[in-house]
Amino acid sequence: MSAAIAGLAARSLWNRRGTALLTVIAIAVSVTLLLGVQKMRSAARDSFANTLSGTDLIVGARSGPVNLLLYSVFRIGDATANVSWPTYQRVARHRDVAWTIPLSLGDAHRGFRVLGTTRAYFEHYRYARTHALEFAQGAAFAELHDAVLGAEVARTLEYRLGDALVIGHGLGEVSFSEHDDQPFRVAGILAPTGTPVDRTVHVSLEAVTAIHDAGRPAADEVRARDLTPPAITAFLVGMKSKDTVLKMQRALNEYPGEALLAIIPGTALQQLWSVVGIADRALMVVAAFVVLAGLLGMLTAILTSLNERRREMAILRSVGAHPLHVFALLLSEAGLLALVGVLAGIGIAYALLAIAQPLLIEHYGLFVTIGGLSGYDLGLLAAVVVAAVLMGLIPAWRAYRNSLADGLSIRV
Amino acid sequence: MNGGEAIRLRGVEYAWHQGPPVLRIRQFDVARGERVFLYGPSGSGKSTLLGLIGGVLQPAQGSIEVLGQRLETMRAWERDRFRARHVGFVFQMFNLIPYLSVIDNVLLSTRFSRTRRERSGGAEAAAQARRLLSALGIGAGELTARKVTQLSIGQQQRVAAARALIGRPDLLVADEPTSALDQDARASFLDLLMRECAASGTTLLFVSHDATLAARFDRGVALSDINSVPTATTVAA
Repeated sequence: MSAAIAGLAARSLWNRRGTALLTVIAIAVSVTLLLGVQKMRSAARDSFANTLSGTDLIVGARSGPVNLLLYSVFRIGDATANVSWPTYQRVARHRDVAWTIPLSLGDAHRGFRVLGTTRAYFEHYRYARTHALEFAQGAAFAELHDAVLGAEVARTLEYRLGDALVIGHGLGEVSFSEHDDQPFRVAGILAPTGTPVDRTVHVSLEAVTAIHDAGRPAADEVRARDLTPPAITAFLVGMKSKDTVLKMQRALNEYPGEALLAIIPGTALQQLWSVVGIADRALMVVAAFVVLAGLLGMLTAILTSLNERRREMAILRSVGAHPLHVFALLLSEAGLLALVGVLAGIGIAYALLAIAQPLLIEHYGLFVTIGGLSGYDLGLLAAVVVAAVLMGLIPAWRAYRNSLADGLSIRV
Repeated sequence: MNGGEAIRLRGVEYAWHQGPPVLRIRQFDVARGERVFLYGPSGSGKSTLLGLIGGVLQPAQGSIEVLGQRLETMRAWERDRFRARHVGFVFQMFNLIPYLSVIDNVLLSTRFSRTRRERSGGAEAAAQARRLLSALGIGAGELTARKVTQLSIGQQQRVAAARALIGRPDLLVADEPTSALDQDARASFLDLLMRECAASGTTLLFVSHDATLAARFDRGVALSDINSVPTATTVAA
């Protein structure tokens, strides 16, 4: 019987396929948006959590953990103080430490941050769990005035290998004190990573010292000098064994000679995401309301069809249908509309993802996994169908009452 | 389903929502196999009577026996199942579900009752529906019509008759089935209906305001004769 009712519902909808199609499209579009937002937010969350991997500790002058994370990893804001070179050297030479990457910030090139570092950066920096930095062109800096550009820097400023660039002091788009006596040369361009690395100009630590040297000697002369920096902004630490991370963190935070702060990147990233993530929850709420609007459209379409279908219900009653059959018929219609809408929405969402995926990687470095639907996705979609059936209770109840009152009398 | 009259009403009273009674029938019987013409102008309580016999309405008082079964003691579900199994209906017009094909409209009666389905040949019900339709003058041309709404009123009424007759119901209730038809169509429809009822041994209760048709039935009854509530009251209600 239930199969017969579902069959009737399907044919009834097919008979009204014009309006039914519009309803299905409304639901499909809202489901596409829901799935799209869902995929994007998980991609954004993953991408955020994957900004920095493989690093056990980030160390800087004492400030707040989020502040340290922001300037050292996201190149946002500034350090209030530096870490002295001897202190850095002590940590770097510690027997439990596998590697360190010094970071020296403070300069900019046409709006992009300049990072002074060493070749260790290209060797040990990891993002998205295990990805190492790769060169799209060229190689790491060999000469003092070599620069390695992030993918976005190269694309936006249209730099090629061998091009000259001038680094300005400070962070503005237009700098008043450009170190134009010491032009840099593009030695390498990195492949896109979807991390702040893409928006960074990398130079050697010595180069940063050189351009800040008060005497401003000519390019040839500086090579002869001692270019050991007096201090750096922060540094990344990789430990030989994970077991020693907490011990090292404590030791650094209690370091007697200098006020230091050591943070574990994963924990700090999570803290930061709990703040940033509010935006994506807001998006999700918007998507949920769009789905609600789609379902309300369906409800309207079914409700308006009820009056002209009273005759149909009376005929069904005359051949032995119980008012509950009429109830089930209307409920099946709501369920079918939602089911077809959800399936179409999944189809559209995947088609759009397939088209958008390469563009997102290329332009934003955002890797959206196409993959299957997660349990959470399936739960959301099931919730859409359940919500539709619950809404279907309203017209179903009205049709039930109508058919009880109308009985066999056929109203024209 | 042995024994008893096809229809047996005793002291039946019906009122809408605590209002004055619109129908009060002391006694009304239809024998099995009988073809009865019930004369009732509109507003005479005709629809109410058919609703009671169909088990869609419940009487305030009295007993309604159909085929020996007391309807007023059954539960709503049982009455619906009973109707599906034993009673066929044909109405004045708009008998067909617009989104079903001719055959599916006929087979609709078999969807709500296993007995009707089995009696119409189970898996071969569609073949039986076609035989019935062709006996009623619906040929292959009308069968392939894409929509039942494209059929003429006369054709639609015959399809409705086929739906009421498939699976040999014990009782066929026809409510003004010929009023929308012209003179010739009316006569031929009546002939077909009589013949098919006789062939399947179905009792026929035929309701109409057109008293000229009465002569063709075994017996004619005026609703005003069995209903002791004056018509004027009924119209007001």
